[in-house]
Amino acid sequence: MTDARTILHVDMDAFFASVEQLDRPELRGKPVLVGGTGPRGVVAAASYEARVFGCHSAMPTAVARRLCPHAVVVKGSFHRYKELSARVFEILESFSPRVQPVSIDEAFVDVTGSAALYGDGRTIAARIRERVKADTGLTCSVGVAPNKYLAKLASDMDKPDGLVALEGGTYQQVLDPLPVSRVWGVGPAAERSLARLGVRTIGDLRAVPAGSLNARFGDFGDHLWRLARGIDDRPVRTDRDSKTISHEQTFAQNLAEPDEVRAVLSAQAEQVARRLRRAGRFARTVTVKIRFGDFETVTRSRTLDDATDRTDLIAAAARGLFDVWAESFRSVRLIGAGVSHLTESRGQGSLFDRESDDQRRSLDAATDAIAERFGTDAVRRAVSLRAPGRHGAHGPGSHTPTEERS
Amino acid sequence: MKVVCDRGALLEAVNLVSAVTATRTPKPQLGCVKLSAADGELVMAATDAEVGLTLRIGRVDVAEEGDALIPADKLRQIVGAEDNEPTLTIDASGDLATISGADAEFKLNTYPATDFPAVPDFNAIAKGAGGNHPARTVFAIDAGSFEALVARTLFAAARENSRYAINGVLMNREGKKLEMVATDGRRLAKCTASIEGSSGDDSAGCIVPSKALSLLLKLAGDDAEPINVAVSDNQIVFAFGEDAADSRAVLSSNLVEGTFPPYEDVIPKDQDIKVTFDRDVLASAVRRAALLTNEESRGVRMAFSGADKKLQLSSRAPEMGEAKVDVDLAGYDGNDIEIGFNPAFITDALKVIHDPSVLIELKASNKPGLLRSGDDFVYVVMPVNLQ
Repeated sequence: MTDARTILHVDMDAFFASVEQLDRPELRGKPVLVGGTGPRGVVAAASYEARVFGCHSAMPTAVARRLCPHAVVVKGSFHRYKELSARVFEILESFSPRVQPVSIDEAFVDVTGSAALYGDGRTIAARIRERVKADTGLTCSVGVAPNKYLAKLASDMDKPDGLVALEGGTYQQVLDPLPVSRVWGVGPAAERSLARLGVRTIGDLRAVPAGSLNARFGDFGDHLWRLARGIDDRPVRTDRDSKTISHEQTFAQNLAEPDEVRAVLSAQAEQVARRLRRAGRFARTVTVKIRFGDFETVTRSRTLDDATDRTDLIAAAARGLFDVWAESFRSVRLIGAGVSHLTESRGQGSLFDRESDDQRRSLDAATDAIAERFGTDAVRRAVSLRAPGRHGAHGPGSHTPTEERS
Repeated sequence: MKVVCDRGALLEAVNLVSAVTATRTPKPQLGCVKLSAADGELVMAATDAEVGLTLRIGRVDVAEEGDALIPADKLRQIVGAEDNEPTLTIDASGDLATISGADAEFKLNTYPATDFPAVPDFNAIAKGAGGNHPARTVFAIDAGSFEALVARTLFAAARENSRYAINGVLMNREGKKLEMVATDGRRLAKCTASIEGSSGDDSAGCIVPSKALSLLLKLAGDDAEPINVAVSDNQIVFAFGEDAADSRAVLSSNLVEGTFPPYEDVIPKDQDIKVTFDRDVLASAVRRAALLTNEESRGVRMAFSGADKKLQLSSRAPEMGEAKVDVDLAGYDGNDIEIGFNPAFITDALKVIHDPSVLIELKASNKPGLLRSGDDFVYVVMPVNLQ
């Protein structure tokens, strides 16, 4: 990727909470928490008025209520969010076909090829913001940059309702003073490790020679070296045009029990199936990749009778593939589930078991809705590419994995 | 054993029995043909331990009675290659078989004939032998009717489905009615025939492996020739010819174990759109529309318009192109509908329909379609989901 690109990162501002304020004028200007109200409820979104008090998403609702007792807590209406999200994505797709959804309220858009039609990145960003405001009444923040990493940093710099462009030659000044925790993939553990090297800002990180980073962090060190310089070659990839969808995880400590691996595999199958459904596609082939403690790696695939996007069928196929290897189980260092042979249509339905198929599909739709609503962790995971986990991956007994999506 | 055989008759028989023999097997005997010469005729038998076949060859001169177990593959190649010879002589003794024509001689290593598993004859299954129960049902049907039943269902059977029972064809006898059903989970074919002149009102059902029925189609000769059928608890046997005990060919097979899915439930009964077609016009239209489909988009879209009695078929293959074919309908009753089908599933059924007029019944674009021809053939097919 040597040619200069123009990438936008579009992020709706406090999306769920803003939708509630849009639909219920009495909530405007007030702190609003969207999320579970039960004893174990979690905040899915907090309006900016509530954020002032320290409330944020993924926080237990009870904690948020203590911080901001006068906040209005609403359960949220997923259908409405989905409807408005679809309208926003329509707007994005009218400017470029290369839209990569990150979540219901966040996307990357590669507008490199749109300049002749719609103007430069900043102009397109401004037009997108206008259209979103006019069509939905909601605000969004847009970052414009030569790559996804910088675009995401930029969108966050002037939130809410902001537009920041990081152009070639100028972004280094912007990057340098930022804390290293803003680097994609740097969680608390990596942050502590870097602090021990005296690295606190991106500028500090840039001063560390590549060799030292690699010696200390391996491949992740190379990744840090590149990001400190604002280098990120990842293409904007829509699930629509990818030929495979997969998730894999490398464990900080090898998994010794087949059941532990099965649990991870089943979660991966679920994520893969969800991404398939979000892309509106169906897969014929399910693949499992296993790397054992001794680094021997096996990849096994199974082709299904019919293309599917059902979690249970994909998970069963993945598990079946793993079980063949579980008979001679050795500790597992990496496990991954993926699908390929993607098609646009579900293909042939089955004459038999039609009712159970319908039931399974509505179950999947329901879990998708829950995941989209409360799946902030899933959104975070998307950015932890090749990074150690956020919760002390280097600590003893941790299974927090390195996770990769492709 | 020594026989002089007509090469043509020998080749035909060897080709048929070779279709039974097991190709990859730890028991080399199952890859062999057993030749038995006695009473002025040659009997050829082969089995893969599931399906067994015995053929009688009349045009032979038995010089010396006896048995031989000869590898089927080599025997077939030799008989096939000796195409200038009107007759071939097979002389087997000890562990060698010599096949000779006028200018060539082949010596093949053989196996002891006693190593060959018994291939059941008709009466062993019909009357029960070796401690087995007698057959649950025994009947005779003319080859033409039976062949039609098989040809109109077998194509719809699953190939290697994990639901093992549908890898075979269900055969149900109820009194004078004989019914066959096959499905691969996406389409289902059902055909019925009557057993003329059969007495008794016994009923029995079984699942016959596809391999046995494919062989049956190859073995069937004259339409009027009777096929005697006997079904026991775990086997089925077909004897070709008037006298079951003295027939020209006997085909036997183990039955497929398992339960056939509840097929009556998936044959729709309340279809409210009824379309009448000319079979050949529809077949041609579907074949042409299918040219622009691929693995990605297996479906052909069928848009029916009742008002002007038209059907438009369309297809689209990503990065290749698209096709449209217009068809005039012979008759249309019901609302307009758009529905997608796998074109191969439609043409497969049209190939086995004899009647020039075909009835298609539909209900909704996500509900199965029904094809009918006469009152003996029903075909159900799930639509393809089109966005």
